[in-house]
Amino acid sequence: MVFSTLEFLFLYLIVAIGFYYLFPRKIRNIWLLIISLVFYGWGEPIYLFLMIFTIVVDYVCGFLVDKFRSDKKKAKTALIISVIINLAILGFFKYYDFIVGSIINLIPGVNIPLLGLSLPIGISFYTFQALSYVIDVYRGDASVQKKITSFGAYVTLFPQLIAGPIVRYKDVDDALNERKETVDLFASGIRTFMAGLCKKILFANVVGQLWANIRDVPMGERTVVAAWLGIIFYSLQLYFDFSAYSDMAIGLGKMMGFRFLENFNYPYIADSITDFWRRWHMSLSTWFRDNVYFPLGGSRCSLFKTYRNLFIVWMLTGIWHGAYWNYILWGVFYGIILMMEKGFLLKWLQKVPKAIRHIYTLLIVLFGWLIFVFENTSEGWAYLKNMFGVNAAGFASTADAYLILRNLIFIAILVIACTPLPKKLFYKLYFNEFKLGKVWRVLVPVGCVVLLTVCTAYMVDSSFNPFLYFRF
Amino acid sequence: MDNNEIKVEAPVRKPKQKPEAEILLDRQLEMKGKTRKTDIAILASFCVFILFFGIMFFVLPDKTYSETEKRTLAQMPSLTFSRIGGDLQRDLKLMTMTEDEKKAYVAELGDSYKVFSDEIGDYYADQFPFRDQLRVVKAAVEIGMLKQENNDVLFAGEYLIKKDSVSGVVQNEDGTFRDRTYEDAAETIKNNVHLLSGIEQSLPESVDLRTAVAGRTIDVVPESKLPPLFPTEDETHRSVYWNAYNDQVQADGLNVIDLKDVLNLHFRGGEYVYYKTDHHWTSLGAYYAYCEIIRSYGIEPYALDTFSRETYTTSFVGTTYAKAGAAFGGKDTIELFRYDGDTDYTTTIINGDKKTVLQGFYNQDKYRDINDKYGVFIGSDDTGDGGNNAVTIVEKNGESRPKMILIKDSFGNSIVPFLARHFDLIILDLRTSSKDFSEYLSDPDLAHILVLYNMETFMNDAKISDAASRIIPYFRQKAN
Repeated sequence: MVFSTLEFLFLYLIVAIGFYYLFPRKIRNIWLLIISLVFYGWGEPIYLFLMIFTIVVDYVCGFLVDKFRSDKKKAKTALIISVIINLAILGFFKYYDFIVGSIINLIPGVNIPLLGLSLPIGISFYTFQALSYVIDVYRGDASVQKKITSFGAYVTLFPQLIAGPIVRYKDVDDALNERKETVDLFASGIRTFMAGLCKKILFANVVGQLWANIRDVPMGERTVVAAWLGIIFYSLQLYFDFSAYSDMAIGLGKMMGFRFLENFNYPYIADSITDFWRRWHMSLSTWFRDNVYFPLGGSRCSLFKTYRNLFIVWMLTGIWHGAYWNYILWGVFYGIILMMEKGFLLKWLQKVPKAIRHIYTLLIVLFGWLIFVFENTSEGWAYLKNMFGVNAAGFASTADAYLILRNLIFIAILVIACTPLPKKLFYKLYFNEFKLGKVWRVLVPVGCVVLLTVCTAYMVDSSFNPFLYFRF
Repeated sequence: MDNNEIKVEAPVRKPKQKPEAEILLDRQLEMKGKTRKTDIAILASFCVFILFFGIMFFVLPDKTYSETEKRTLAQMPSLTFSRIGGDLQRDLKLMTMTEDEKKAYVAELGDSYKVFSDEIGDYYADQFPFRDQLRVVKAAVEIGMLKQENNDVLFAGEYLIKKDSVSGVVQNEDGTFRDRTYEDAAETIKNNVHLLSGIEQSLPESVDLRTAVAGRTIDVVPESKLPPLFPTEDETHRSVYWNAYNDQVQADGLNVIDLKDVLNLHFRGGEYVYYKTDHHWTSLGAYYAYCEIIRSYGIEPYALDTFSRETYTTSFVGTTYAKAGAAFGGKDTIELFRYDGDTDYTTTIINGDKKTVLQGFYNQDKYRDINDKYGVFIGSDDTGDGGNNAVTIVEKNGESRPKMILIKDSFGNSIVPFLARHFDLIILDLRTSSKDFSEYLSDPDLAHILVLYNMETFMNDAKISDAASRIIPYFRQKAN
């Protein structure tokens, strides 16, 4: 199921949250598990079995790790079993065809069948979550979860099940057993959810359509300006789409008393790539940092090893996004840039004006998304050349001018929405720092209803509603 | 990446360190003392909104047809165990297929491929309470942001104009499907012209064939009415279609009547030749088209003042409105061009065994109450009887006149009253009717075949090949 649909907002949510509060505390986790399984099985019921299998495996492994706490060897075995099973499932569904396809390409005459399995939705996210539980228990960062229903609720928790943020078990450990739902938290959840809903429906879907239109133009008919606009549109779409999902997830979590960590922190205002990655998809970076980078030694070892670790992490980050060469290339691209920044670039950047640092960062990010968006690398290469005039239909056309003119206000709103300004303004309003008198109290709720109405209107009258991060 | 590094593999459970975001949230929550009332109001308004629409959805009865959008609406899909089983089975089957097999399988299933959850989504969107009003809200927001268009419909002053688009899919050589491109559409146009010239060559001396392709609103609207910077015809694919058409007509020597330039001329002159909220030409537009057509036969058309113009409705909203969701230029007026003795005609709509007989050629009573007011013109698009009939025949009572077969799309409907003043008409809409019409070809009075389409149909689904497959063999056989 998708958050930004009418049936989610006006049916599922009412039932899910309504009963959640009707039920006594004791069975709320069970209700969460049931309703989350419905959420997951809504589109592809077939993969529910896989999900349940994952829950059972990791529950048992976590239990064993805890049981053999004194016997390090046995505990480690249980951990390794869990890691192997989880990665095997992920690897099989996500990378089997990629690996086999590559083997077939490399060694002619080999006859291994391709399976063409459709990727279970959200598998990359929930596998990482389930894994983090066993790891956290092993490290002593979290206590074992005795109730399989509560553990199941953690893995399947519908807000972040499909596209993150990747919640580490230790972050919700306490909340899972005992959480306090309050009016304040619920209202805060509504605000976060609304922010996400608007980002998704009013921004991401609309700008995504613009990108799709440009992408669909056949080679040789796209102008240089259109190509640049296209990739800018895609960058905006990806950010709003993905951060919208995280916002909605965090908001829904708050409505039920959970507090998930933020996943985005205005990545497009970053002034270096190192900074960018502290702001973009933070839950994934954190996961890789805690579970790969640090165990490898992090940056507290020889220079060579530090760079090797960076490289491995970024390679894996790339692969995590999908079984295509472009994602690996994309990961390596960032790996190299981050190494360069660590080595000398950051020092240089300190010396140049802030504006230049921003432009540098945005350009790198833009080219990063260019690698990212085309799963077919030759297509991406052609598009890149297109951006520099190769095979382009001239520099610009009236159509580009018309496109820019008619989207001027919209794009301006999007650019502003990439900065912390709207949130700052909102809190000024919220805490009545504008001294608006009595109107003040009404403004926020009325604004909420207005935005809900507009979002509903866009949902009713729209057929374009993809979620980009479902594929990962 | 290496900020706040912490020691790995600590032997004992570490005290929990609150992450920054959570500290922020706490601060927010602490400050709530003075915002508690606002919070309650937010909570209440959100819940009331969601509950209101959520409950209204169940309370309001489902509709089968939307008059504003002129389409049937999705209905509640039934959830049965066999349905779930079927979906699961299909999913399993899909799992074992390779990409190519999957594509072929999905293409084969076509519309029935839809999974239950998708159908629920469609059902919710279509039956959502106050759908029409919400669509107006969206259109208003889009236009408010000066986007100039909504749902691919241009808001050009008072005119709603459907943007140029290509529909349908084509099969690749390797059997896979892809969306049609404008190049495919240009190919279709050439193909159609070629087929028509094939038909033309097969005809005996006594029958002549003419082709008239009308422009869509976007093709004939004066540039001054379009939004600023909107690309001109030469800068878009529109020129590709018309060039393909003209080039092929030239190459094949097809006998054509130009309707695009003449209507553009009248449009420029400020005349009301196309509807503002509908993709069709007005009765006046149809009149000018009629003049061009009839002149090409060497006949002088009836002058405009020989018709009395009766206002049928002033509240017509058409197909582009249906797509755009709102209009800011008011509604349209439909005029009926009447003349003395225009009821002296018999229109027979033959639909299989069913025959409907009308006096004159306006379906007034039938369509008076329905929103789809363009249906007043016979042979019009509709789900009912007067729709794209198998055959519609218009004859003048007690008079034997030359006959014309009119192969048309809905643009042809409003031109019927004019052409009927000169010919008995046999009206065919090949898009919906696959009737064998060879009996009409054998009519000794048959003098003309007129193919009248607008570019939208001509480049997409004109079904000219159906006409060719009936007419060419018929006359070839006869000649032998």
